[in-house]
Parts: sequence; structure tokens; C-alpha cells
Amino acid sequence: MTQRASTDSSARFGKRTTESLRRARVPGALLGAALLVALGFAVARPVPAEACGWAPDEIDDLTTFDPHLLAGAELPGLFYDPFHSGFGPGCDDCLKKALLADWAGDLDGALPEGAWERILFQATLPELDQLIFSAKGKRGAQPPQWAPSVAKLSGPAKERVVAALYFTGFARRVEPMAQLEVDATSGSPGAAAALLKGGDAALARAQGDFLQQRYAFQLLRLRYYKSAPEAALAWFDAHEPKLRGPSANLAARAHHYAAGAALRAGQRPRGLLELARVYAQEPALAPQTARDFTPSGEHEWQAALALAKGDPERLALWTLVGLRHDALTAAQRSFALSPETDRLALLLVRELTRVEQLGEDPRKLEALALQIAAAPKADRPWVAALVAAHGAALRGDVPAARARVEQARAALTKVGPSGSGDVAARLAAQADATLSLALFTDARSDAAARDEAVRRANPLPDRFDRKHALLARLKKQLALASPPALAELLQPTSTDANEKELGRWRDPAFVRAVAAIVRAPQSEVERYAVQEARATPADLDRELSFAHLWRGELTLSAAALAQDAEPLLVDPFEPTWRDLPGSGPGPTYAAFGRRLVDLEQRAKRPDDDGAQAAFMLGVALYNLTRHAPARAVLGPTHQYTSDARPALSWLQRAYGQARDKELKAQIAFQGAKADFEQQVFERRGSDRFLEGPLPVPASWYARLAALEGTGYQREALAECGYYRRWRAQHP
Amino acid sequence: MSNRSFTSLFAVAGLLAACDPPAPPARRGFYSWRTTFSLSPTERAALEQQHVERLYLRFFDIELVQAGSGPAVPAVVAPVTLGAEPALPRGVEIVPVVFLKNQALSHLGAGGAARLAEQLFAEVEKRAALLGAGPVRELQLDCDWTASTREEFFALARAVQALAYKEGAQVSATLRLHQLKYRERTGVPPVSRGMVMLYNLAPVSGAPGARAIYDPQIAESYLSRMDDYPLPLDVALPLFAWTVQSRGGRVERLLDGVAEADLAAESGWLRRTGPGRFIAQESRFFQSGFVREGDLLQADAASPADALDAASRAAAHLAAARADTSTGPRTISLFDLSDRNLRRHDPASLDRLFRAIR
Repeated sequence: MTQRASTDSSARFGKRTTESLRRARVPGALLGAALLVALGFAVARPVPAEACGWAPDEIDDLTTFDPHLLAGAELPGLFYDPFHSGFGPGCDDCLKKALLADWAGDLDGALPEGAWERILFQATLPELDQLIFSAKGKRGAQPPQWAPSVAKLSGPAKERVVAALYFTGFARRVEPMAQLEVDATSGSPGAAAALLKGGDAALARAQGDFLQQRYAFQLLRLRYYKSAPEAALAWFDAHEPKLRGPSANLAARAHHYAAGAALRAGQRPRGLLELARVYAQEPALAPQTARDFTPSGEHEWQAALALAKGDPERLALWTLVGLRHDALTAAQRSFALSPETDRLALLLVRELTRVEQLGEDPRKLEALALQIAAAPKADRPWVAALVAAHGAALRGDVPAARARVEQARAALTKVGPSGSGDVAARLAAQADATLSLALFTDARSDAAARDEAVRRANPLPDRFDRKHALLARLKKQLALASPPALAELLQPTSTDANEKELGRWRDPAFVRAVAAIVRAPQSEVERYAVQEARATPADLDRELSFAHLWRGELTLSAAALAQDAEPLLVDPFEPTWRDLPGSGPGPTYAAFGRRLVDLEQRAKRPDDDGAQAAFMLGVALYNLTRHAPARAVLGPTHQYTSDARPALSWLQRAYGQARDKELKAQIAFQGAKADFEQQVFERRGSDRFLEGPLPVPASWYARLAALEGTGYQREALAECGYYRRWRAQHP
Repeated sequence: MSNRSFTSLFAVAGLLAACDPPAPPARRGFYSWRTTFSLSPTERAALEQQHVERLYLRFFDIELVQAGSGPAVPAVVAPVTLGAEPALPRGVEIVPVVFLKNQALSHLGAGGAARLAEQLFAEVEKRAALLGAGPVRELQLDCDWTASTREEFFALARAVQALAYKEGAQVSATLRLHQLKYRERTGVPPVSRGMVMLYNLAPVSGAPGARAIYDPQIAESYLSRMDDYPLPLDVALPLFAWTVQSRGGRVERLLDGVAEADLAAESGWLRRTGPGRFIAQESRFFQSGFVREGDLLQADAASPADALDAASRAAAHLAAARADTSTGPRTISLFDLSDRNLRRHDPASLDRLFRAIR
């Protein structure tokens, strides 16, 4: 399953992503991949339709009706999924299992299971000869070491095994010829004819239905690949009674060859019908048959329908139409043919998923689903009622959704014991999801309705396949209907967002409103928002403090940090030459706040001490900007900014106040750094990386240059190449 | 004028001619994009009448395929098979074309390009042998690579080029117009030639009058970058038509090859609502798909005039491009060879197209 970032994974208030809630896609059990390839049809391609570097859409992220409600009667690979071509992943060993099961019935324990499996799938032709000779007791013949029991067989068991070994040898010879294209391994036409002759004779000699069906199947395969398709089809028709049983799986696969032969022979209506027969006999082969089921036009389709013998075959045809082309039309026609057919539920759910994904009007589907749900003897009427309910929910029609959910519950209750357990649990979960969807989609929903929507969706079990999609949509809808502070908790702004998006977090009133909800949520929606955001009052205090700080409200900033005993990761008051990552642990947040207030007071003095205090404030405010060394102090808040104006304001003041030249030089250099940051910020308008020539903090460099005799200026000249180059250009 | 002057004039003229010889006529080609290769009498006649030298034949696709429960791997998909009448007229060379899905490239991993190149080349040789195509002299890679998959595609192209070189073949690549225009971003593929595809210029849309196959204004906005493209260029021109089936403003399906006339012939259940635009009045199968009552069908086609416009515009820019014949003369190839397209583009129109570019 493609990993996909949660929509809120980068947001501060969304660390517990809902990714973990998503279930792994259940692999579909699809049979006959080998047969498919052998038939020369297109390879099954259950792969994402598009992927260009970002995670592609997945149907379970976009829809809110869990198709697993169908309770395992249908293959998950047949659920609607436009993002994967084909019909779900293949089943590696289904064909092998079916073969072994068939043979286990025929051999009836004459050989150990492992030995027969090895004979059937791995034994070479010389080994098969060796096995036959030793089973027949030919003098000197020894079985391979891995099958010693073959030599000890007697009576009917011996006869069955010898016949099975002869058949396996024949099938082994057919295998290399089972390809439409001619190459070095596929044998000459003469070899195929000889094999056909030998096979026909073996079929005539074969005792019992089991071996006759298997010889007939291999001969059909051989004819499919080595004869004209018309001949293969005629042979199928002539030998259909032998191909019909006892193995249902083999019988269905024989129809698949008949379908391929008919399509290749241009008898397309017959080919379509044979595909439907494959599906009717072995639903596990539905993925292959559905993919190949493409009537070229209405005339051909009507001809296929006319060829069908009875409603079961017509229903199978319509079901393939529904899987491959149009589930709504197929469900309508299937219902008209047989209101109680068990094919309707899958078609309804497919259409519902499609309608929801594409945002289409569900009313036609709802009408049909209600008809089906009300039909006497309808198959799984609760599915139809829930589909109708979900359609109403998509439209925000709460009364209709409620009534239909109750109808589904009642329908399931009527069934009795079979309506309990897993089906009941899945229905209950879907019912809650559907009602939640209706409640938050309803444009007129009030606070009570929104609370109920949360109460129904939030506790859904993780096994509910569409929980992620439902909660994502719930949060989005609730956010749209909520005041800004609550909306923020429901749909948090990423801490990496640009300055404009982070703007609301610079407003202390907004931060206080968010904090008020976090401290004392008043409604179900607010409690859910706080739970999802995982915000704590301490987080909000820090947000509030820095929001005040950027506004120059240092006393208020300190007050918000008064109880914060966590140590700072770095000391923001530490001036550095370069933006090194941190300078060691600093004081606590509370101490940082107190120092801000203290420095603000000291800065009022009109002397070098006041200038020093203002300088320190400028240093701290610069160091906290987005690209400066103390940015980590901001932690997981929304207070990151590249706006260096607060720092520059203090540095201007400090420079004006300072009398000491060394101090002035320090201030000028710090001012240059802040000015550089500010110019970048202003030039780009946001936080994009630098493009074009770098800005030059010329006015501050000029001030520094004017202090030429100071040690600090010399140090700056030695350490800072950027200043040195500017200085060289401005002697 | 004296003899001496005449002599000088001839000498200068001779020098000029030596510096700038006239471009040889472009080779004539067609694309064939079907999974079963067979030629109808009309198609065979078109190849013969138009003196077509090259048939660009889609051999197979490379897609990401999930075999069972293992990881998805790039694999050969939908290989071309032989139909009833696959024999080509004499003198027509097959150029195998392999379509590569971007997605298959995005999962190549270390060493994956070389492995895929070997698989691809072996399959091309096998298919060429089955088709009786003779030795492959050019292999074309068709991939809508982007800035995010260019490294993988280029690595694959280099690896295929190395294998092809050993067999005396060259590798070309198709160029979408965005790859031509934004080459600084998408790069120039490491191949011998580029085939500029002068079609599929706009997103497919079911809107009334939408033209996605060819639009002169859009074409012109891209073509200026042909002038100095650093590869010798061939040109593919559109002959084809399609119909967009839409429902609720959303594209439902593309009906390949279906033109306005085909829709007009279905008057029993399709009602015309505008130029090339029809609404379905009943649900039914049509052109290998299902049309639901109320669906809208919008036809789009490259007309003979469109194709000639594309050729003329390309010719103007190619005249300014470098004349590099080191990898062979230019090829003008028409997309694609089918009875339907030949019905809409008569022999004289096709001949004009082929003559429009040198």
C-alpha cells in the first residue's frame, strides 16, 4: 500500500497522524493469473494509475462507505478502485491450491501430499518415467529418493497413481506449447500434431470423469494454442460434457479458453457469453473475465444477451457490465431480471463508491437501492438500505439518512442469527459513519448536530476501512463551520507555513482564544478538536509569549512565560559571528522572560549601560528569527518569522545611545546581520530561499567602517568575508 | 561582364553551395499504434502510394506490474502481436517504438536502468524477429518524462543506446512540446535523434469546442524552441481524431478514432447539440465502452488543414535549426496509420504533408 503523508503531519497540533488508522489493503484472492497469461490476454495490472513523485490518491482516502460491509461474499479486488488498473492484486497460489485439492480427492491418500505436489509441479519427464516404471514394478526401476512410497503401491491405489503419472507426463509435454507466439521453446507444428494425436488416444483410454476432464482440458489448451481458434472452439463444444466436471475450477477455466477462442475467431458475442459463464461458475476468476469483457457495440452486446440460456447467464453478463463498465445500469437491469439476485449488493456498493469519489448526484442510485431494499426476498437488504442512507448522507439529508439506517438495522435484525457478529458490527460502524457524514454535510447543521457527528465518528473502530477519510472530511467541514480559534485546532496551520498564513498566530487575542478552548473545551466538537490537535496549555502560553514578543510587548511576553521552567536549548542573548547552531543550554523560559523585562527597564537609561541593554534585546530578537541561531527556542510554535524589524528597532536605539566605540562597532555589526535578514525578507516577501544577488546591509556596514580604529571592526574585517569584500569595494 | 568576373561569380556560388547544400528530402513515415499488427488493403496502398520508407511500430509498453504479492516491477505489457496481414510493402523499414510509463521509471533503483535496458532490448529483438522486421536500425523510446523522472529515463536511454550501438542501431526519443520548450528543466535526452510530437497540445476536455489534438496558437507558442534544439529533429504530425465522453463536466472516456461523422451516423440515439457535440439519449454500448443516457460526446480531430498547418509551422522553425544529417535524413511521420484516418486524409493531402518539411 502506498504510504501517504497525513494531511496534517507537519502541523503542530496534529502529531498523531491518522495514517496509523488506515488499514492495509486486503489482497484480493484472484485465481488463474497463469491461465490469463497463457491465453495471451493483457497482463493484470493492479498498479497505481499515476505516480509522479507524490503519493497518489487512494480510493479509501476519498470515500466513506466501507465495501467490506459485503462481508466477504465478494472479492475485495472487485470493489471500485479507479486508481488501480485491473481488479486487485493476483493470487499467487490459488491455481496451485485448486489443482492440489482436485488431485487430493482423486488420489485419496495413495501418495503423501508433499510427494504428489513435487511430482505435479517439479518432476522432470525422465523422473516421471522413473516413477511410472517403479510404480508398475518394472525390474530394476527405482523411484527418486524423494518419492520412495511409489514403489510400494498396490491394487487400485497403484492404478490411480500410474494413471495420474501418465497424465502428468502428458501435461508436462503440453506446457511448452501453451503459447500463442512461436519461438524456440514452443515446438514444431509436427510435434504439436503428434502430441494431439497421443492426447486424443489417451483421452479415449482414460478411466473415470476425473482423468477424462483433465485430458480434455489439456487437449483444449493445446488446440487453443496450436490450432485455428474456430477449431479449438468446435472441439470445446464437442467435448463440453467431459469438460464440465467433476472439477468446477477446471470447468470454468475451460470456458475461459472457449472465450479466448471465440474472441479470436471473431465470434465476439459468444466470447462475451463464455466470459460470463466463467464468472458464473467460478467468481474467483471474475477479475480476469471482467477486464476482458468489452462489447465493441450495442449490436454485439444484444447478440450476447440473446445467446444466453436463461436469467442466470443474463445476470452474469450484466454483472460483468457492472464490474467493467456501468454498475448503476447493470444493477437496474439485474434487478429487473431477478430482484433477489445476490449480485446486486456489489454493484450498488461499487456505484456508491464511484458516485462519492466523483461527487456525482446519488439520487438515481438511492432510488434503486430503496427499491432493492424493499423487495421481498432481496439479498442482503441492509446493504441496499445503507447504500440509500449513504447517498442521502452525501447530500446532507439527515432525516432520510436516519430513516434508511434504521431500515438497514431492521433488515439485519430480521435475518436472525446470521445477522449478528461481524456483519452486525460492520453495519453498526457504517451506520455511525453514514449518520456522521449526513450531520456534518448538512448545510443547516447546528452545534448539537455537529456534536453528534463527532460522537458518531470519533469512536469508530480502526478496522472500519474508511475511518481516515471520514475523520479528515469531518474535521474539514467542522472547521468551515467554526470560529477561527476552533477551526485552527481542527485544521492546524503548519509551523512551516509562510508569514501570511501564520499571521493569525501573531495576534495575542487569537492565541488566547485557542488557549481558552484548550483549557476548557465546552462542546463535543471542541473536545474532539483539542484531542486531535494535542495542544497543551503550556504550548499556548509559549505561543502567546512570542506573539507578544514580536509586538514589542515584553512585559506581557514575560508574564506568559512566568511558569515555564523548561530550559532553553540555546541562549538567545549570545551574539555570534556566524549563525552557528546553538551555543549550549540556556536559562529557563521563565528566566528568559524576566531578563527581557529587566533589559527593557535598563535600556531606558541614556548611557552605555542602557545601550548595552538595548543591544542585548536586539541580539535576542535577531537570534530568534527564522534563519538565526536561537530559532530553536521557539520550539513547536507558530511564531517563526524572518521579520527582523523588532531586532533592528532595538539595535537602532542601542546604536544611538552608545558612546563606547567598541560597543557601537558590535551594535553596527549586529545591525548589519539583522538588516541583511530583513532585506531578504522584504525582497522575497516571504521565506523563500535566496535568489539573485545577495542584499548588502550597506548603511550598517558604513557605520561599522566608520569605527575603523576599533578592535571589533578589525575582528569583523578578519572574520567576515562578506563585510571584507564590501569594505574593499568601499575604501 | 568579363570572363574573369563570371569565373569569380561561379566560384562564389560554388563556395556558397558547398557551405549550405540543399537539405535532402525528408523520409516519409507512419506510426502504427495497435496491439495486433495487420495491414488493411487501404493501409497497404497508402504506404505504397506515399512511398513510405519507415513504419514506427509500437512494440510494447513498459509499465510497473505487480506480479502476485511481490513488489511491483517494470515489465513488458501489451506486446504487439501479428494479425492476419502483417507483411509490409517492400522497402518499408520497421522502427520499433517502446512506450515507457513514467511510473515504471520511478522505481528503477540502483542498477535498474541497465537491467531494464537489457530486458527491453532483448524483447525488441525478439519481437522484431517474430515480425520478420530484419535488423533493427533505429529504436525509439517514447516517454513523457518530467523533471522528476528525467534522470531515470536518461539513464535508461544511455543504457539502451549502449546496447543498440553494439548492434549497429541508433536510439531516438519522442519529444513532447513541453519537453522541447522547457528543456532546461526537463533536459535533452541522451539519444541520437528526437521526434517532435506536434499533437496532444492541450488537456483533454469535454467542453464545447475543446481542441486538444491540435491548436495552431498553442503549437506556435512552443515551436520557437525547435530552432536551436541540440538534437537532429524528426517530426510527427497528427492525422487522428477522438471523441471525449463526459458526464457532469468530467471526462469519462476517450473514444480513439471516433470523429464527428461517426457520431452523426448514430442519430438513432445521439442528438446533436452543437458543432461536433452530441448528447446520448439512451444508455448503450458504443465503441467498446458504455455510454450512459445524458452523457455528452465531443468530437475532436486533426483535419487535413490542421495537419498542414502543423507541418508548415514546423518547417519554418526547422529551416532555422541546424541541418545535421549525420544520423540520417529527417523523417516526417504521420500519426497514425488506420483506415479511419486515411478516410479523412486523402492521398493528395498526405503528399502535401510529406512535401512540406525537408
